[in-house]
Amino acid sequence: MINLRMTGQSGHGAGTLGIKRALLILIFSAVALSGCETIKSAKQVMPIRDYEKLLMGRIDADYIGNKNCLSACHYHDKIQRDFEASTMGAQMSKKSGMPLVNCESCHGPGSLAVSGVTPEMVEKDAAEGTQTACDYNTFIDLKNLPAQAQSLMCLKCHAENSSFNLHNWNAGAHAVSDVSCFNCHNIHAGESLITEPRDIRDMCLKCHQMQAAEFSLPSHHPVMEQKIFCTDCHNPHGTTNEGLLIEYSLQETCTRCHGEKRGPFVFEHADINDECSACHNSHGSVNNNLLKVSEPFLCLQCHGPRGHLPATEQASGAFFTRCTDCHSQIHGTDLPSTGGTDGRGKFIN
Amino acid sequence: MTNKIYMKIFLLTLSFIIAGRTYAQDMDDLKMLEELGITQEEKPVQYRHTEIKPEGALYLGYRFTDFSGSKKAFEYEHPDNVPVFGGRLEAYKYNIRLHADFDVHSKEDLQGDVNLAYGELLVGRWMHSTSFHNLDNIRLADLDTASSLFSIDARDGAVEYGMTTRINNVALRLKAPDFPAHAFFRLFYVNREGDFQQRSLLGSGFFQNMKRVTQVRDMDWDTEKYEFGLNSHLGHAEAEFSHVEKKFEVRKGDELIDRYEASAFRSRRDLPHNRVSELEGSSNTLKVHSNYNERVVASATVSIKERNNEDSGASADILYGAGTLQWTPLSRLSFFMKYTHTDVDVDNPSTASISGMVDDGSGNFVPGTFTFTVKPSISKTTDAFSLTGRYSPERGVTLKAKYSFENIERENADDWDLQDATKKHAMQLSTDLRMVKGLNFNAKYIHKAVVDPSYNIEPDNLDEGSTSVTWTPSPGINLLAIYRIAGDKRNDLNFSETESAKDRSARTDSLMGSGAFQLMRNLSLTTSYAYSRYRIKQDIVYFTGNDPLVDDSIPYEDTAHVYSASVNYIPVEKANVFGLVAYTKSAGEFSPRSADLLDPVSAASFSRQKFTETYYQVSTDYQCMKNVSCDVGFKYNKIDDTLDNIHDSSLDGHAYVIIVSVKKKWD
Repeated sequence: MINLRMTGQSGHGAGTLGIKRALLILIFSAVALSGCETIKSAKQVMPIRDYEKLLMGRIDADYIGNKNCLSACHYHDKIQRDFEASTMGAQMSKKSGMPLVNCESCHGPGSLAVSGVTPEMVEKDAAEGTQTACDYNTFIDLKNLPAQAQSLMCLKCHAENSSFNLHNWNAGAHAVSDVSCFNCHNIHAGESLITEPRDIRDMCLKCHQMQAAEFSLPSHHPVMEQKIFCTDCHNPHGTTNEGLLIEYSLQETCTRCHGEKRGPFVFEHADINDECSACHNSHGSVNNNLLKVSEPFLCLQCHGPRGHLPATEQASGAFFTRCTDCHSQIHGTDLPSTGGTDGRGKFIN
Repeated sequence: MTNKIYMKIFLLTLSFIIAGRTYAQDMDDLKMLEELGITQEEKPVQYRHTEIKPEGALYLGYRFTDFSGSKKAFEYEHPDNVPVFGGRLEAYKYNIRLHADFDVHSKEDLQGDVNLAYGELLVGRWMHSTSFHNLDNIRLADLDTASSLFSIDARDGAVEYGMTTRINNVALRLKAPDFPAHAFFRLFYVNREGDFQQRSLLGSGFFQNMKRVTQVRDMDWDTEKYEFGLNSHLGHAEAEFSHVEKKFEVRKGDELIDRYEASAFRSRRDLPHNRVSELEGSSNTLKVHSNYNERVVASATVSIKERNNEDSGASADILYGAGTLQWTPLSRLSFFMKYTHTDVDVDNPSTASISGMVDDGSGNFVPGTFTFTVKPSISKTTDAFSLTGRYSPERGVTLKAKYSFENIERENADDWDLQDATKKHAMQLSTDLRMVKGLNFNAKYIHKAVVDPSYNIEPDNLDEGSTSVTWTPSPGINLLAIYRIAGDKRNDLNFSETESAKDRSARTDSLMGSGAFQLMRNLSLTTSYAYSRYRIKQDIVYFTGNDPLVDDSIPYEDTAHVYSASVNYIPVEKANVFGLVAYTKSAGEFSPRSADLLDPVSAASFSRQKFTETYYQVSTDYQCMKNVSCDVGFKYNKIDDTLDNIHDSSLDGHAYVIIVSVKKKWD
């Protein structure tokens, strides 16, 4: 199935327009076209020929359709049922009236697998409580494909994905590190192909085990408790940021929840407000409030305080405990500090 | 400015590549179809969808809790004794699909996930999470209650603080019939409600009269993000435009007002403090990427953002652009390039005011406003580039090399005694080896060099190495070991008033080992141990009068050990038992040497800590009748402030939570 679209002409003429304007025109030009197939039109894996061979399946086999696959082996009835109840299975071809995606879309043509299997054999085996064996070796060996080829099996359709979260997949840390779609997604796990929040923690931590230990430290975000999820901060499908952060910067990511610290403020902590990780370990820490090191040493790394050497025990308590007991607006404030005459931001008010 | 031009040229070029390839590829498609003779129309047939009965489950039970001492024993559990319930529903009738999950463990602890779809035309999802966070009530160090210069006013002696966080994540996507174009809406809404301890400095604010205060602070704050967008497929490229509105709204607890005593510089006054400002922002983002299945894959993002502070008028304009390029000349060899450009232009007012009621000298309070000049904020431009090469000479062997460069240019840096520009270079080499079947080895080395680091915590040089081994000697045994070491060094620290403080070095060691064992067909055991140590040696600065005092090579160190073991046991077919034991031990301190920091009370004594945490969990589920299961979950945690240091905000406590429930399934 090859997509027949003329939108390329619009794209070709975009050179004289501003990028934003040109691409908006492209979008609406595309929408205006009719007779196009839906998003499931597969794309060939043409340039990467090794992978193309791997993903093609047996060229001496024929496509036989779901009905023939399933009548030969009712073992997969639940998988078929779950699949039809999914967004992938719900998509129908306008031309053929048949599902756009079926078993053979991923497993390859199935005629050789059911060759020699007759309805009588299936019934007989079923009566004896056994499963009629298909020749699985004639299918594409999905589990043993290289990671890139596994992902391409999905991307050949999801290159034109309706959810745009794969925008940076190719240069994202997971793709670069040979993590494939299969490592996280099992499309035969049930009818909902979307990852459940309760599954996310174990899914991520099975590889990122060091982070599991960090989430067990005295101060931590409640990921192990499943109150928040890795995907609240990270986009596993790829971003342009280090750490696959869900927003374009660390501060923007943290302030998705901690919005009061987002700013801008009249008095800011220089430009280090952008780097929450300068003071905090986001996963977990030995120190309170996820601090990388405890106060007052945390602040003393950069600041040499004036007038803070205590002469009395009580003054020691005031000056040596937590700097943020007094400088309590350390993330930024709009109020001048009233303790001095210059009003400059000491983060006290 | 030059950077902006370069970035625009880069992104435009990238877009032309994508658009050009789109055109060329479609022409190839058409030609291929002609050659293959694929011209006939397929005849529509009536496809019969499988009939699927709804499935569901419902459970009902009760939650018992008991807390003793610090509620940090279960920091994220609400101390309620309440009924619990929850369930699951999966219903399908072509072509409507509904999938719902919910768990209600108290009104402060509930989760829900609802998916509703109509064919491929509409897909919607709403995820909700409500959780509770027990917050600290810290006792301030009161070493001399008779002191008039340094006093403490604890107005919240026995208050137990807590905050409820409600997160709503909504996504709605509409698709054009028979055409790959979509409109979408996303909402990320966080409400935080409750109270927390506000610590602040009152008194006159000068060293003759410092009154440290703890008091109750109510909060009801909303953080909202709304996103609307369109995307579509343009041949072999896809484009998306989206608009985002962000808001931070304060429903309750925007500021506190307290009395500041008179000093030699000013009269008594009632002034606001610890204000929480309302913020808003918006962004317009355009993204385009090419087909993922080709030898060259490109993506580009341009985003124009703005942020505004509704209370003070401070604002920031942000231009963000990013481009990625993947080139796969051979299936064994790939190159990945990333470039990001971020231009943050901060514009804050030149003056700021604080208004309140002021003693006019006769004991009467009259309105007063005090205006101060403001140091200009830092605007900056950051350009980051990275190039990664990945080569797999044979199956099971992957070698990677990455170079990255980041350039930060700051405006107004002199006002803040920071560097005008900072450059960061990093080189990373790594390998993944499958040595034999079941034995995998990974090693990584990173070297980073920073030119003109601005902040003292930034090193001149950093070296990091890590290695991990996973071994599956037999199908029932899985072993993992990870070790990471990182060291960094800084030779010229930047303290405003002295150049005598020079050196800083830091080192991180992390070790982890875990093993999973299938001991019997119905019994598995998983154990793990993790160790981490973070050490710093740094010159720190204090002032005696106007003279800087440098305390050389002050050590800071914290360590943590985390042990855990879990068992999964299926004693009979209808029952499942899970058990978990975890033990965490941590410690930390810094050790100044100067007599000025050790007398009259050592600065280190306030932050020295030793802490242990012991956690037990047992849960069982037993199918007591057909489609009915009886479940019991028990968890217990004990925290022990081993040093009993009242200043380190750690306290002793223990707590348990038991949930007993009965679940009925329908299928």
